[in-house]
Amino acid sequence: MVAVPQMSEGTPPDPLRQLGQRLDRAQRERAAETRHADAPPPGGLGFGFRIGIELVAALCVGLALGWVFDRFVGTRPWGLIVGFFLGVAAGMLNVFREAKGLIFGPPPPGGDRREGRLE
Amino acid sequence: MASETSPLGQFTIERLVSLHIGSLDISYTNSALLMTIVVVLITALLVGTTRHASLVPGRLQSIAELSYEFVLGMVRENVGDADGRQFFPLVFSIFMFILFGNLLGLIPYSFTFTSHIVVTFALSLFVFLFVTVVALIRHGIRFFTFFFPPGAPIIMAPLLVPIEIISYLTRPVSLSLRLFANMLAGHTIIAVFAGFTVALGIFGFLPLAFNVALLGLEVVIAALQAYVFAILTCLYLSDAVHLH
Amino acid sequence: MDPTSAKMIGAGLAAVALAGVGVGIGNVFSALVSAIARNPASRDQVFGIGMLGFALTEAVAFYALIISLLLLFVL
Repeated sequence: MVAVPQMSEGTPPDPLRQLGQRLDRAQRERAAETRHADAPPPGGLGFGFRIGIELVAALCVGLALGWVFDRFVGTRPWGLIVGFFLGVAAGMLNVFREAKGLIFGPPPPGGDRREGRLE
Repeated sequence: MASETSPLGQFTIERLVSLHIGSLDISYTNSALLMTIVVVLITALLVGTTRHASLVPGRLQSIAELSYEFVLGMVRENVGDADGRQFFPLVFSIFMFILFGNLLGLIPYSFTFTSHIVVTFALSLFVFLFVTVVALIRHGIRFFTFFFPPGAPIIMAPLLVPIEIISYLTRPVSLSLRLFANMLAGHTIIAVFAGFTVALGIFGFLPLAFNVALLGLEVVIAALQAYVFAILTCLYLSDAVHLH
Repeated sequence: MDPTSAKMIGAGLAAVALAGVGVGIGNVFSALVSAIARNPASRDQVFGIGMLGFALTEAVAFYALIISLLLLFVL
């Protein structure tokens, strides 16, 4: 007769089910790791393309919004000037965020997993 | 605007079939012809090769399967598993459309429809509006808290919020401008150096060699620009779904 | 030379400043990459200073742009 290990409280644990749960969790973690490892490394020509145009585009949008504001309110040329500086600031912010993402890497996965890690 | 022989002459739109509805010009142009060819080619590749799919794929079926898996992996990794599944058809269509459009434009005497700002702006405006609508549907009124970054002092709000709004509105502009500028610049330089090749006579092999290298680089840039457009679409979708 | 042509030539000459800006930004990021490559643990401190250097160098490009726009549209 097989001796089943007994705990002092509660129902006796099912070692096979526990093993199955641990296997499932390990497989999920392995799958998440390999998926992230397969991703192409950041940086390179693609990243340069993404960042290079951000500053110019933000400047254009800032100038355009300033110009539209000027047309409706009639505060030429202050709308353009304010739009210029806001556009510059927005462009720098965009570049800073993208570069931060490159140099510091993506944030650790915390949003996808709902359960806590016990081991 | 540009004469037929200038380097910018390759971008002129020609009406192949003139159609008008009232005062609206809906002619079938060379740009529309290339778009039709691209769509037919993509559909033929995907549907034709997987109709009698074999377990060990042949070459064309491999291309179809690889492109499918590549975009699926990209969407799953950047947007998330469950949400990525929903947005996969959109990202896949955009990626294949731009990729095939860029690549077919490299064929001599062909036309690159992505080298026109109206085409790229239409695509990127669609992506921008789609992402904004998705965010509004998912998060409702809390969508507007995106423009006030957490952890910033409330006194800086009148300065930070316009900057964040401009930063958000930059997305369609940068998305379209990037693709447009790269395609326009690449094809213009190729045309300019081709003109040099003819003009220099016996020494024309020098700009010709440069053109050969540049054409190779343009193939890489064509694929890379399609990839950058698709991955930025995924990132904006992930922003809309998660971080708002 | 009529004033309009002179303005256009001046606006084009103002863009020559961008050569210095290009060299400067290249220098900043080359130093940034070298620093992080030598000592990856210093990434946090060095990155902030690197971004500051980039922003200040890019500001010079904006000065050139302002001068160019001033010449073309204001003066």
